[in-house]
Amino acid sequence: MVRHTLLAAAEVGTGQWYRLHPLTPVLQGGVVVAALVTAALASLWEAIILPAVLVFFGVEDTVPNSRLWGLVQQSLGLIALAALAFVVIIVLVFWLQWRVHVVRMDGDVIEVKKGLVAKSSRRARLDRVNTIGVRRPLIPRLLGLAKLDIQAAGNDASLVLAYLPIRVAQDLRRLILEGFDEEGEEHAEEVSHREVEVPLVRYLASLLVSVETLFLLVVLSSVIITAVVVGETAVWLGVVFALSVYLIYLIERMIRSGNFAVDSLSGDLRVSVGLLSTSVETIPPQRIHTLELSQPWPWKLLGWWRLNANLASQPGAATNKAPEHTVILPVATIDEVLRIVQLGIPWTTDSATTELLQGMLLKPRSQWAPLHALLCPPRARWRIPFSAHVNAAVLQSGIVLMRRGVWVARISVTPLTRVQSSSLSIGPWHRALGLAQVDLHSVSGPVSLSVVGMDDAEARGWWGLLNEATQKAIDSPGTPSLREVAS
Amino acid sequence: MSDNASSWNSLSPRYRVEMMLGTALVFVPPLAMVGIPLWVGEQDFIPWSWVAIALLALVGLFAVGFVPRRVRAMQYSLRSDDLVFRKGIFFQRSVAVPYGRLQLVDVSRGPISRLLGLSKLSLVTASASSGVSIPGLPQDVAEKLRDHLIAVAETRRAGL
Repeated sequence: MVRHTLLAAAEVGTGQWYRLHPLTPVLQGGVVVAALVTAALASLWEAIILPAVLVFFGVEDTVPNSRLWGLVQQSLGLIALAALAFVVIIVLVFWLQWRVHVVRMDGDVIEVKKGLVAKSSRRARLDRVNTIGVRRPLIPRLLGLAKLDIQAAGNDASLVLAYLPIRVAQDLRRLILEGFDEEGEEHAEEVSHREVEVPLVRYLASLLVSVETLFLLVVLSSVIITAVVVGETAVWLGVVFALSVYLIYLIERMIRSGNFAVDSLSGDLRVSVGLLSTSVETIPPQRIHTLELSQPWPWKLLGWWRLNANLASQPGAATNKAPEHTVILPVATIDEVLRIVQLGIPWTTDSATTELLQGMLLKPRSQWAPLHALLCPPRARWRIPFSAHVNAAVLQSGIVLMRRGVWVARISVTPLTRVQSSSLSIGPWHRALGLAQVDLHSVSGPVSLSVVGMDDAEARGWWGLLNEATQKAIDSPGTPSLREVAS
Repeated sequence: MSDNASSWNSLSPRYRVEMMLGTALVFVPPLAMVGIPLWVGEQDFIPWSWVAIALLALVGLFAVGFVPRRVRAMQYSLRSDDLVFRKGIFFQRSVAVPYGRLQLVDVSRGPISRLLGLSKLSLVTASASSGVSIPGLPQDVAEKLRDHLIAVAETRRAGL
């Protein structure tokens, strides 16, 4: 049976075995070889290599008169042979590894086999595939290669295709997600539209205006005060140390989360992140269980917001190896954030909801809260002194909106079709004040959905409405094309 | 099954035994610890040891005595669209799980439950924080409830 190298995504899907890119073993095993060679060179450097180089260029006339050197001179041919054999073996091993690393796909499953001695094979059902990430580490990226990280339902059920030419990887991802059924149709070029790009300068500024900076300022000022009081110049070393740690932190964040961009393509969101190594993940709206807009108070002056999400089937949740993709936008303006919210949660597109959301972001509660909103009564300040005047929850056509927090203002948007369950809790303190707490239960993620300190009776009524609305959403799922009637 | 919330079901009264045993067991290690001077025979500490034991025993007795009320506070109701489970006296919590959101229904029993013929029914949704498990159901009730919930969930299944 002839096996071809995978060069075009359209070729797969026939159930034939294909090989991956020939550089794959080098990229995956190259580190080990490089480490071995480096270690060998390092240990021989002083005794053999350096003198040999010096003699070769005529810097020194005589070779050192050591036993080892004599031994080397006697068996020069043998050493050359051994080096050659080493290279041949490495190449052979890489070549064999490349030959046995094959992928096969048909309408139902995708299967990867690899391994010379320890063989492994992995198979995933295509209809169970949840998400496919295109990962581009630095060196493969320079070579125009990428790896596909295919996540199926279940913990640690991931199947990695590494490495493929970037175009093949992207086409393959689309083919798997769309299914091979519509193979007859022409595969139109993916129309992606750049929605939001976070400028590097703004990202850096958002890192500078942060708790970490405040912490650094506190440390610095205390160190400087100590230095002045004690009169010890060595204390300045502490300042240098603190500054360099801060700088490393900034650089690390810039490299990991710089160049943030969100594209939209045929309804899905595509989040790309990373300055040197790019990681791209496509998030269909069905995976977005809730979105949260948050704003630490210093950002208020700059009008910036952060956008986090709870996503179904977090890739790499079990292994924690994959980069965090729960951050949809690390820092963005109101318009940009609202645009992404509307793309991710289509229920927010009607004008009433847009207006409400804008009001929640910008105005005090008395100005935006509709009549049917659940609001913290004034007496709740005995339980939540700072946020009693901002906390609120609103049930709006197909979605639940929650507004919480003062130091970090948080506004969450949750489609009712994604709400798993809900609860009403009353602790001793709440009961003493006649208050209650309402929680929505979402898939795991950075966003928690709970409003504290609501009036007991009102909260019970609202909870009942919420359950009815959730049920309605279960009975008739699907995204609304036009506005529905608000309950 | 009617829609009004008045049709609350209670747990088996036998569950009180299980919960009392569980509550009492919590107090065994601290009792053993404060009782160390009695074993060792450290004369200076023996009176204090007795005081601590008495206090712990009092708290333990109170906790065990409170169990029937806690068990009575745990109730579930099968409404037309969802299952509601409520529990707690000082910290009250009511959870509503729509049938369409059920992914898994689990029946489990430990050694003590088995002796008492009781089972625990756990409802699993896509959210870890739903966390509804109804303990202290007679075995046949738990199994019937599980089959019923799975059947209802099947008909009302909604995609994730």
